[in-house]
Amino acid sequence: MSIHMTATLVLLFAGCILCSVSYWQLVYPVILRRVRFHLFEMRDELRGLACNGQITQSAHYVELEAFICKTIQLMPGINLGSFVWFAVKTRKERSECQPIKDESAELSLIRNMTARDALLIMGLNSPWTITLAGTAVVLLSGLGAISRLRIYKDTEDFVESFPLQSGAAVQLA
Amino acid sequence: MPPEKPSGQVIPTSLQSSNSVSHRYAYFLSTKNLSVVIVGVVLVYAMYRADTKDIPKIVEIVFGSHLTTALGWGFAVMILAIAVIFHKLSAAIYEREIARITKERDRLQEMLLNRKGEQ
Repeated sequence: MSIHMTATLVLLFAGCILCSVSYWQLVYPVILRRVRFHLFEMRDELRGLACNGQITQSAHYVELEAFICKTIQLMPGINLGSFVWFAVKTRKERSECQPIKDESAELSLIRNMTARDALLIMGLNSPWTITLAGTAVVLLSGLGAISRLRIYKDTEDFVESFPLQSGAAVQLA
Repeated sequence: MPPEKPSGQVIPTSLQSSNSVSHRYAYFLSTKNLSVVIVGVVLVYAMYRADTKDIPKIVEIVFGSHLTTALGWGFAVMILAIAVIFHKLSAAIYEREIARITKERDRLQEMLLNRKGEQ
């Protein structure tokens, strides 16, 4: 390898470090905070709907609340590769499960927005994977091989697969 | 309105927490610092293969050229600009969240006061 090539590599290495530090220390925390605040807003909205009696505190409500809480709590530490791995590995067994039938349009909207935010956080955690996966998803969507709702459902199943880290739970009689 | 409690279902007793925890699932699949690692490995290999007498020349090329200086200043200005933009953005995000929480608090306090008034 020539000395000019090695010198270029040194510069490239320094550039990569600077870009990496800028992304992880400047860009990432701000976007992550914005998404987390949006999730807090949606959870407040959900709890507000339950408080006002616009929705019943059914199993759907509890499930959705747990989904939002887990997304806020766990997603900042999970990369997109893990989600893709989970989606591919468990696709067959999950396809046997019945799709969720929400009791209201509000719940369905909040659920989809939470899934979208969870995907966004995982994408932020994996800037290189999202570049590749994003291209693949656009291509597959164009071909009609995958749908957005299917990806949202996969995301929800992925988040649901984690145990709740805190918050007491009881087995009702 | 009494909550619907299906028999045998796990239901949290209180509002759930949202403290962020670092829970890494399949961490080996992360591409967090992939570019740094790849370029670093290639650089280490190149340095290992280079002749010892060439090292001062490489250092001279890197630190003695105007291109490096221009690139360095370019990066510094770019990072400064990004830092200022994202600082402003961060402040705006916090302001918006504080405004939302304030509104939510006022709404709940009003609800509580109305409830007390009814009693």
